[in-house]
Amino acid sequence: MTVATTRSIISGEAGAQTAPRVQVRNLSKIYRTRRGEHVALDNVSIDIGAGEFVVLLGPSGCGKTTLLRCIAGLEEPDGGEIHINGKLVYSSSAGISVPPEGRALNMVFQSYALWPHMSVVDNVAYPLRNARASTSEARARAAETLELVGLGAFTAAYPGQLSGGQQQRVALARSIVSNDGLVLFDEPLSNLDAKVRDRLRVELLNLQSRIGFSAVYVTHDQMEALALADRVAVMDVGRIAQIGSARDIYDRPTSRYVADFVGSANEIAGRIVSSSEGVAIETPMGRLSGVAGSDRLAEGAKAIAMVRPEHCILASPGSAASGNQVEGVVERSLYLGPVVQHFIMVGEQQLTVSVSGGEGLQPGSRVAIGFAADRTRIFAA
Amino acid sequence: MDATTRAAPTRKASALAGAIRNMTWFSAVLWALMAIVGLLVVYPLLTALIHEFDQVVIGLGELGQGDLAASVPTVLWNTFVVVVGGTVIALVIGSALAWANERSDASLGWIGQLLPLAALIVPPIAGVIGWAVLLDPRAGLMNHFIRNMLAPLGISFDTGPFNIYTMAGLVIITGLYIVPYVYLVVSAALQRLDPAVEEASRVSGANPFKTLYRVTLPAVRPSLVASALLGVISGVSLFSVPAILGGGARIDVLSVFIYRLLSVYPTRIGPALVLAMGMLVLVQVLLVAQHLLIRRGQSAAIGGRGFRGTRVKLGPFRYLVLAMAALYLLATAVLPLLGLLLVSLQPFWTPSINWATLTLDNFKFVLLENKTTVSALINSMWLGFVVASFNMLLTGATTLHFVRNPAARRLADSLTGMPATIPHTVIGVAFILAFSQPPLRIYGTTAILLLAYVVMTLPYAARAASAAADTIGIELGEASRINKASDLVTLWRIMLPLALPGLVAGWIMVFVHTVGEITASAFLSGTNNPVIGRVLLDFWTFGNFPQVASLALIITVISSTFVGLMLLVTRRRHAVTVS
Ligand SMILES: Nc1ncnc2c1ncn2[C@@H]1O[C@H](COP(=O)(O)OP(=O)(O)OP(=O)(O)O)[C@@H](O)[C@H]1O
Ligand SMILES: [Mg+2]
Repeated sequence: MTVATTRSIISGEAGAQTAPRVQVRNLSKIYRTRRGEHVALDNVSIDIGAGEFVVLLGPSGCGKTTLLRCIAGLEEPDGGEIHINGKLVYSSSAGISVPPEGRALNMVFQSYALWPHMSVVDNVAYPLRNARASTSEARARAAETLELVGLGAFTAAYPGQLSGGQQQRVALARSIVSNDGLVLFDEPLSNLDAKVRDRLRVELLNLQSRIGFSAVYVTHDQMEALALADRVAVMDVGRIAQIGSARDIYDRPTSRYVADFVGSANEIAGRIVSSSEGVAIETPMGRLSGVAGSDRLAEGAKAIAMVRPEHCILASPGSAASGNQVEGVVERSLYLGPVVQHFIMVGEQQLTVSVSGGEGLQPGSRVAIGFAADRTRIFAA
Repeated sequence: MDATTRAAPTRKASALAGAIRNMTWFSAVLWALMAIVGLLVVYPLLTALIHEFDQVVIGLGELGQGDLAASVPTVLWNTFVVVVGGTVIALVIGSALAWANERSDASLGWIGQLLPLAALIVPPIAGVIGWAVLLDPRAGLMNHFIRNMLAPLGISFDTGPFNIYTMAGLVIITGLYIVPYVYLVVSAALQRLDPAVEEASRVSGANPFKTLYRVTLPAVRPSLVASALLGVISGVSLFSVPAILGGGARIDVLSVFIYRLLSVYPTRIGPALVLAMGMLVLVQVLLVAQHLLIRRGQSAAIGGRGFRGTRVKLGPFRYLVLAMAALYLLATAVLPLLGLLLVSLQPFWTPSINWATLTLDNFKFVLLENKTTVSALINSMWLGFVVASFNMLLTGATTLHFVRNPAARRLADSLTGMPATIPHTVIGVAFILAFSQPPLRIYGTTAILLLAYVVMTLPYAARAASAAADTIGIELGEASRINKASDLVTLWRIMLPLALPGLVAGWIMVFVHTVGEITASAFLSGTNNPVIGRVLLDFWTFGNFPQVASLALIITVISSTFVGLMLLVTRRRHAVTVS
């Protein structure tokens, strides 16, 4: 695990160029409850570069919030080290734990966490006041920042008088006003409707490139993750399964778990027949060739070939093709707007094929499905 | 505070060492104060038991034979009838009103809001005195009025038709003051129960009443049982009702009987202590049962969102429900107050009101002329002020300060909640015995009252502080820390302003309880340290009825003014609260 993580850090583009803003080393967190111990973080290591936007993506309960809160200092880890801007803020071995107010970072909460008894401008001025700025200076800078997020007209309002999207902008303004260089986001857009979410996402990216803070951003939404991230860290229970650019994660997953979790995938079980220069796998649909997704692929071992529905094409049966081709019977087609999804029975197994544009197919008709070998990733089963 | 590093000398500090490392002077002060308060509960009980151990032994013997052997079983039986009867009445009225308010179209509106506060707005002592002057068999104003109405019809009595000094009177009035407990618990349970489960039953073909019996009632059964236990516990310690009505009815119940044992000469410490301890044990057993039931009850709660489902249409029954609610308010507040008012304006308590001789002399006497009542009023107000301020400061600071430390908060909660498990009669007995001997010989001073009130009202304060803190989303405090605020700045600028309405409400609640307190006042107050509760009882015993009535009215006015303020404060929250 550690090896894989280290390698992907080096391969990450932004992270390798400048000194990391955040360095997390072998972080562990164990919750002790009445029902026993629960390992929420298991030896997690991750670096976040200056100005880099890293998204944490993973299923519910995998520890994304826990990781974020450990970085923030809101939760005390049980082991490991955290550096922020090169300064050691947590170390279990040195017995150091800097409280949140001593860490150069800010955070946007899922519930916005605006203080209802303070006006919008006072909410935003709060971090400056704590940094010993005078009231008038803090207010002035807060008003500037509110201008920046498009809320110049709302400085005197109270949070309760704003819409959800406006409240989220206030929270955003509060997190960037003191310019700490690092902002943590815990599902900041999940309470908003789709349209507002899209718009705020773009505004967030604009702000980030303008101000240049590093961001660690937790989300459930894959499309959001792929759209925002310089790098995506996909988490499995308590650990980071893969970290890399959106393209890496989507096109070159290094494990079945990641392939499955991000996007959707057709999985075809079989046995490895050759693993030299490309991998070949014998399946009930015939022999398929592909590339190795993970290292451990011994000949004769059970394996899974995985191909994404949108990497498949449809052809008429019998046509010559390069790459893999299987034949099947159309069960049903779903029109989804931008794409049409076809469900096709190949032998005993149903495969999904997504085609952008195009017509539905007659159920019962025979079709061939083609997919390139370099789009077919093979993992040990 | 040091905002950079907190270094620990050892690699793996134990939890205790960690707690001590994180101890600031502020939390140290809080813990010290809580320890003192905890001691105030334990010390009197233990001292009383240890010092009077030989008396306990004698007491056990006396209870086995002699005059007490004959009277105690009757007392116990009376207590049982009063408490169980009162609880049953309260259960029926309280849960019916709660259901109607939460689930039917007979929404009670402002009555529903006032209902749980009935016993705060009109202190039970005032209410029961009010009923006594209304339904005294001879001189009762209401009895007299009814007799006058019936006379033209050729029906005439000399007394009655009602007599409050009976077991029935005792049971009904006790029931009235248990209703708020039931109403609160059942309302809360119904609010937690997702109306969707009832709607599912309706959609499955059950009519509203079948749904009530098959779905709603079983779902809130744990809360019903819990509220019944709560009713029994509060009924056992209720002092005002039997103290006022029991004498005339010649019906002794436990709380008053114990008080008598200590106020007759020679005092009978042993039997009093034994009975008080028995009461304590009984309540502990009930509390354990309640704890188990409430746990189960919470796990049975479904949903948690406060959304409103469709309401059951009651049709003409609506008016029945509304009438019942109105009747309840009439019975706990309007009628007794009317009775008190009429008596307080007369030179003597006469059933027929002579409108020509109405006078404010009684108020003048009580408020200005009589030394005892004046100093009682001043003492009670002053004590209420100090007790409420101390308790709210302590519990408010504790809950808000330990918001991020659940373990510390649990410990603090169990310390501050402890007195709630001890009947006030027991506190009275223990304080008398423990504080009339060295090293703390303070019996007969205001200090003993202060300590007793602090202990007795601490749970109210703690509950109010908890409720105030729980309405503040955890993230609001975390957001402050993230924005570089120290713990004390967070407490001062974020938590305190947000919790303030709840804390003020708690202050008022404690104040009102203290001013209207009867039990400890009866045990611990005397000529040197008079308080309102004690003076009311004395005046009643001596038959100064118009003065009693005016004094009772005065504390009612004080109480309801403060409760009105409380409603105002809690209502005026920030327009919309975030998270
Ligand atoms: N205070 C706590 N006590 C005990 N267990 C906890 C606590 N907080 C979190 N956990 C557990 O730790 C695990 C990780 O929780 P975390 O909140 O980090 O998940 P998450 O990835 O943010 O999930 P989601 O996407 O649902 O927000 C979960 O299994 C959770 O049950
Ligand atoms: Mg989370």
